[in-house]
Amino acid sequence: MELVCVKNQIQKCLQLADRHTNHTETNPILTGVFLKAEKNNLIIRSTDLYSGFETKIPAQIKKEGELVIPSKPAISVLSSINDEKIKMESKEGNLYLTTKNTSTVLKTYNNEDFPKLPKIKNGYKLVLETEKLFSNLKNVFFAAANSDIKPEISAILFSAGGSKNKSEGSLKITATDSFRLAEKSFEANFEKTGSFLFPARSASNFMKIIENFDDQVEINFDAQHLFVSHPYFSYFTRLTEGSFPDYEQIIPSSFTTEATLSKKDLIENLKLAGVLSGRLKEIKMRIYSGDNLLEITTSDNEFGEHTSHLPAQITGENLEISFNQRYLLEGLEPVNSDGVILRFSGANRPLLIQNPRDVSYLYLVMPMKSS
Amino acid sequence: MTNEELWREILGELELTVSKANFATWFQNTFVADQSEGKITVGTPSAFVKEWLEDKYQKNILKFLRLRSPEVRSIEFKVVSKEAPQEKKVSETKNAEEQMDFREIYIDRETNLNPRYTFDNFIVGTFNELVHASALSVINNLGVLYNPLFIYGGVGLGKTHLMQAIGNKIKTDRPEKKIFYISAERFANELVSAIRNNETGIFKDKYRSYDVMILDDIQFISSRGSSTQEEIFHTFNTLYQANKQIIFSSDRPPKSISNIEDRLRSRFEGGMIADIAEPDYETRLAILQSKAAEKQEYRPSSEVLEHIAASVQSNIRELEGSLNSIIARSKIKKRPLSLPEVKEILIKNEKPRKTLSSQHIIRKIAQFYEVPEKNLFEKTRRKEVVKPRQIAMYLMREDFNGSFPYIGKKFGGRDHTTAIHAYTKILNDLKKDDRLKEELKTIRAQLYEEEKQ
Repeated sequence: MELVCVKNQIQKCLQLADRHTNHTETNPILTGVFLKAEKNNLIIRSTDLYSGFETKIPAQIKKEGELVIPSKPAISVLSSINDEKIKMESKEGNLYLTTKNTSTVLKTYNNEDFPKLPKIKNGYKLVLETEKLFSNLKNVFFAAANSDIKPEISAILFSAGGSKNKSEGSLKITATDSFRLAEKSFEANFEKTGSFLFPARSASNFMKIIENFDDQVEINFDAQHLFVSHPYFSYFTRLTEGSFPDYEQIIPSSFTTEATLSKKDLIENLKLAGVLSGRLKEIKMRIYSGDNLLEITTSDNEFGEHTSHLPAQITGENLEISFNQRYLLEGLEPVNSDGVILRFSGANRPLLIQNPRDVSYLYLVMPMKSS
Repeated sequence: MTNEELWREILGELELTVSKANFATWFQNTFVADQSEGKITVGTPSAFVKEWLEDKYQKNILKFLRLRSPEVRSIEFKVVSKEAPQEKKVSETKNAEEQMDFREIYIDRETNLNPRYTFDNFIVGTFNELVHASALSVINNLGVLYNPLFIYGGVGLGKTHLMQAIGNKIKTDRPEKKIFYISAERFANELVSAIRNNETGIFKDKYRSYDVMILDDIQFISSRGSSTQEEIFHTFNTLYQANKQIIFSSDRPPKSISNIEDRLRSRFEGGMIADIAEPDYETRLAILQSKAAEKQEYRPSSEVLEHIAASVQSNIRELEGSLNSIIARSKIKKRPLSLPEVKEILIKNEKPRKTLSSQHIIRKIAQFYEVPEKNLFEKTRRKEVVKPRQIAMYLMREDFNGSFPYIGKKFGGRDHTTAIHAYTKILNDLKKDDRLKEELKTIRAQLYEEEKQ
């Protein structure tokens, strides 16, 4: 194999590929990244046998060939090189990386066959813009459970059509860790309704990938797997099996107190109050209905206390309720408007956070036990 | 030769032909999933393994297979899902005790039951012996003995817990039974939307397919129209005639549910009616002890538990709530609470509901002490104004639950330390001044009296 390519391009692709290598596997080639020079492209592929990633970058190929390299040292070397172009050449089980001013030799793994990404036959098809998919995933991703205890919620639910709002072409993505829940709907192209559970740990790698590519992706899925194709990359992952909780019954439909206020104000003051929120990150909210006032207080045994008064438009009853500061901030961030509406359904009941004029995003969070 | 033996031999052969690493990667966790009519299906743990074996080893495997059982004609690979959990086992639920969760997340989709409610954590005392015994008889004699079982009792006494426990017990004992739990309100909502969408047929089929149907809070249907009641009646009849078990709960006996049709009422009364009374002191204490034993840290002393059991009388949910707030407070203070501290918390929890406005309180106090309302906001230290002002601040803190900065702001932009001072002063005075105590009692009585009207 002999070729010349742009250093930044191969560095970026190796970094993405490295996230899909498997270091618990006994087979050394799976800890590395597969490179293949073919026609005018350098193909880069990796897999941990759970998910897999393949991409290609343009390269001047002098001699076709393929090999597997350990990705970590390669990335470290590339990120310390300043030259724009890099020459790669394989010789006697080694890979020579040469730039204008540097020269590096990397050992490669035995040149065995490297697994391909499995294809999906007779799956469902979904077409999405990468940018839209990325930003919408970012809106819900953080709410997914971060453990394997209940796998069906350590995943993001993708549900195309169906469910309550039967609006044609609407894709709904939902994540919950049982303490809070985020849901976002947006337009997508699909032929028939269907749903799948995207494992959260794969989703974070997948988001890193699509962040780097424009245009559209085509998603194919069956009951067990998902395959994503794009002109410049392919992605494969195992899906989580099982069924997502019937969460729609959790979303309250009537509210005892509603507060509308500036999102920026609220976020800034939550951050401020968070300084003294103690180990539990507990934020106490008091809502004074007659005064159109939302009060945020925190106290930390060791360091002190804080109070903020925020003007808000309030309807309903007075209320005192506590929340985890991080849960509030994370759920507020995706609200895409200057104002935000907090819809409470009483003490010990969940709070619904929304854009006052757009229901495509909703965030539901349970309070903390008040002390 | 069984499938397992066959596959073990094949693996033995293959192991000699490939490297150790390759063998571990591609052949571990494979097995013969099925063998029929000369076709062997090999189960693989992932799609990668499936494709790899198909591409590279299909011929070899088939060859080895036919040496041993010549009738084998073809081989197929299939991904058999066994979730292969990887690293990253982060337990996130460090402060799970303080942070509440969506209970509904844990609900079983098929039965709508919450697995947290079981008989193991259901405490039996004299107040619920009867209902507990009836529940056990129902489990052992489904649809025959007591049908329907009608359970009634006040709020927070464990009706839902018991009903769900019945469902969960039947589910584990007899998995073939189809069980469904639903609140009467949701049942009615589903029915209404079924009627609207012309799907009543589907609705009826669904409910009539259950072996055990559990309808919670049936008293809610009294507010529904006769069509809902009629549907419940018909569903009930169908299930009853098919010897399917039905369990109802309500906050009052069938006789006292107003606005229900007589034929429905007589159906409710047709089986076994069991009530849950209010728990006696011993039972309350037993409940508290068992709840406290579940807690990791700051378990209250038996003296404290006895005090809670004596002062919270009517409601088990409130009992638990009081215990939780005491433990939460201990955590903040990082030490167990003393009895006087516990008493203080319990008194706070007993307060009447605060739906008063701050203006309301101020006006009332001005009236009571016969000072003009606006004087309370002035920066004067005349004695006849200072006292009402301090009492107003105290009440706004205690009953209205305003924060000190808020109270300070209300009284002409005073500092929150002023509010704290007023509050503690009145609090201390109350301990020695019986007249003040009486005055406050009268003010409160007037405030809440008015509110009721």
